[in-house]
Amino acid sequence: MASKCSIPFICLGMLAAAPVAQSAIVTLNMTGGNFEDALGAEVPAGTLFQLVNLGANGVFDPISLLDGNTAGLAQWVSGDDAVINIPLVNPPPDTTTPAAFDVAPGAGTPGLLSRSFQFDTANLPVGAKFGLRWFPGLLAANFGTITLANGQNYGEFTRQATGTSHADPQFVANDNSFLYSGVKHGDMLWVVTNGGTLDADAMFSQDSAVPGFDPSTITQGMRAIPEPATVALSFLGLAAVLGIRRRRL
Amino acid sequence: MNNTALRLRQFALAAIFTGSVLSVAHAQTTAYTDSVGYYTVPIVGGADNVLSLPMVRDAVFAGTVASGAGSITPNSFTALAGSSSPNWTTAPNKQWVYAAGVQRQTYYVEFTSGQLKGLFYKIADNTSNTLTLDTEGDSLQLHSLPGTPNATLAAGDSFKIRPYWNVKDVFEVGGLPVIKPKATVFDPTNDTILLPTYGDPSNPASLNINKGAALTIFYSTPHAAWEAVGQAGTFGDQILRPNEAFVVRRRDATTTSLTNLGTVLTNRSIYFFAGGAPTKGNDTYFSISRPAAVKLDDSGIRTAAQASSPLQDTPTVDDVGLFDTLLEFPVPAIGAGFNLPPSNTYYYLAGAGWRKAGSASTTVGQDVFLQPGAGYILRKVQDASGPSGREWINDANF
Repeated sequence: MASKCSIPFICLGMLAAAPVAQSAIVTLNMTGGNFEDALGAEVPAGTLFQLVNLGANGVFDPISLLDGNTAGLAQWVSGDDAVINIPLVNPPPDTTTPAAFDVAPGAGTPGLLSRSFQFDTANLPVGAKFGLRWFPGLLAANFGTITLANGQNYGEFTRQATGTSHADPQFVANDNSFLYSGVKHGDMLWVVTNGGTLDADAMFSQDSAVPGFDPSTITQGMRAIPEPATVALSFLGLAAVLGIRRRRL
Repeated sequence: MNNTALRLRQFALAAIFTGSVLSVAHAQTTAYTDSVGYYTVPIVGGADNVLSLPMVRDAVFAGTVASGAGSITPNSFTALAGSSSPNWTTAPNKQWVYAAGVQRQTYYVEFTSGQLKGLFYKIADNTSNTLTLDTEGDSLQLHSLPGTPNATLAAGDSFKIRPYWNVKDVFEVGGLPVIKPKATVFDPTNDTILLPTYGDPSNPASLNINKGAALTIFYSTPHAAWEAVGQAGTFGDQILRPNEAFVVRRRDATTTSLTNLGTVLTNRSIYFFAGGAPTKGNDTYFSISRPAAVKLDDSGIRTAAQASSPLQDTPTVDDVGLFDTLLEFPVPAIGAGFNLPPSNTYYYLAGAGWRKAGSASTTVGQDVFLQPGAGYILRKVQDASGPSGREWINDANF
């Protein structure tokens, strides 16, 4: 009988009888340091870290409590971002979700992250872009009871472009743009793959013995949840400018 | 012969000892060594290398199962060394039980005769003359095997005790790692050993395809120890089991090699493949634990007795991809990258034989070999009645 299937591996003609679409298991390895607070001090081992789905725009949207989300999971993100709150396959002993974890299982070393998570792509789809945030002063153990406050500092990191966008890692724009335009030690992108082991490591290297180390002063990228007064002043400033323009007209 | 992976692999039978006598401490009998040799596999730079260990470690004890009431239970048996008690040590440390920092080997029993010949289980405990095994839910008194649905351990059956390979013993030479270590705690350029996630039918969440590593092990120079990402403790004693495979992720751009010095397994080996669940297939890494290539037709991966065959036939060429397949990962090209897809996919066409996806009209069972030192995946598809599993019986072809 002549073959009716010209595609060697998957025969389109058999799609009607095809099994349920198959997900996969991704292992996400995260190692790196130093994670610091706004003052440049290494964060304590119990500091809250979380993974964030960067959404369709693929970038961190600054956290703002002015969007009305001031409680629960929604308070931790803004824009099209979402906290990755999914069950882990074979979870570590101290957490069952990447929504809240600290530097490592057990005691851990301040500022030094070492985590390995397994998850099913049925819960976080292939192609999803993700990033890491940390919140100095907040503990992972308290995640369920934390209410974010204005002025809370937080750091964030992702890797959404290969290669290097800047020659001197000492000078990094304080707008996190380098996260999307290339960082040294460009290893795997922080994009969910169809299974396999994803090394989201090589985040930073403070060791001058390692050529081309990434900027370790991630405090340059440290954001703060904006105070309402700050926003109000911005509006006042804008109104003043508009007023001056009317008078000139 | 399939040349996809032979060109860089070398096997040397350095010396052959047949019928020689090995004096073993503590045992009251002599043991006979199998053939010894070494096998070298390349670790290609800038790539994931799917590898395995074709040699086993030398047996450190050989004996038989004792007779008498209560000598055999579902997970233990009483042993004889010749006609005497083996008088194994139990204090201050148990002779066959792993103890971190004290007794760093993990041992397993390999049954070498009787109905359970080829099965192997980790030793969980010992007395002066009994062994308690980690049978992972199996029963020594009732084990369904292809052709022997009610296989049982019996008095007089022979067995050997071997130590498992472990990371430190395999990946160190002269106390230094053969792969690139993590030079500092911040060094991102180190190599890693990825141990696969093996599915367990009792844990459906562990069943899936394209699974990432269960453990990612590296050597830390600052700590002078093998460690694992996201894990506390050290992993130099992490065991590498027979018939399994692993991935060496070599970030270093240069190619190096791994030499596996050990003993040739001449006994049968039996290996379990976890099947798929109703909504998920399952991947299992496997290898041949012998330094000799075996044809697909002779491998035992597919048997005519389909009810117990590890790999289920594909009914027609139109069903390719919808039934079980065997995935091959040959030696990668330098700089090939990571999370590499398989280079070849094989299936068994019912009534015809082994075929390679993309070459549907050519039967390859006599031409494609499972290579020593390589790693493969048996991909089981979704099973409405699953999860279950199949035992792979692999006999030596020499």
